[in-house]
Amino acid sequence: MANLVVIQNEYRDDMAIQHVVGYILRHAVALDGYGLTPSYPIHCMNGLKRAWNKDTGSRLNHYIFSLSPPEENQITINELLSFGAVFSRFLHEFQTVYSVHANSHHLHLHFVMNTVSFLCGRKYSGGYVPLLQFRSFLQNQYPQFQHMIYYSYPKTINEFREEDCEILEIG
Amino acid sequence: MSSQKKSRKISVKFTESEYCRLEKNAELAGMKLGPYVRQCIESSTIVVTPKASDLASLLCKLHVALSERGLDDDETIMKELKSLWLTLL
Repeated sequence: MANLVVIQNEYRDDMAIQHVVGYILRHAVALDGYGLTPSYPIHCMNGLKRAWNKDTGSRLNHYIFSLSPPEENQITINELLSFGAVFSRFLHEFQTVYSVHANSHHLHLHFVMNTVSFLCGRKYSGGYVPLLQFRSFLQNQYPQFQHMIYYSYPKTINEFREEDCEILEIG
Repeated sequence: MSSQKKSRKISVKFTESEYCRLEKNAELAGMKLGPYVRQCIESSTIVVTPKASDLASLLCKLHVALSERGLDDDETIMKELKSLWLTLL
């Protein structure tokens, strides 16, 4: 089963971008981004927020796409990384940085999105539409997998556990 | 807080030749640097008003355009873009 996990943390503190993006950079085995340069995503995300005077409220959205062991063997790290590029295109006007981690028993992709639009400075309000588009894409590309969307309520991202997820019945 | 930001001035440390290179790279990626951004860079000063958003927006679009053309690993371009991002921090 391929799981798309929505981390239900609002990330309202000033250091949210440094902490979360720092975490996904530290453990990255592959890394890329959209609307920014992956080698300095924190500068780019904070710079955009400051420029639009939108450096308050929810700083980022955080998603994890994970694969179960049998599926891991059918997908390369680069393919998994390319899912981040696809999801970024669905989001279209928001900076994203994403990286593949292999620091748990599941290969997984962390995906962080700046909540400020780089086209007009509006805050993200797209809800689950891009998620559903992304799931449809995955379902078409990999019909042999079952693609599920979950919520997760972690205390910290290090304590994230899949068994804590609560299935989200949408779409 | 917001009035402080509006009156704060920041320097963009670009020489004329560096700016020309950035402009050339932007054109190569199918982007044109708008007159406001050009004026900001040429005068080496940006007033942090909502217009700083023009620069931020342009930088993001430039990153996307460069990435689509496979130029996002060019160290020179990235160094120039990083300097511009730092001015927005």
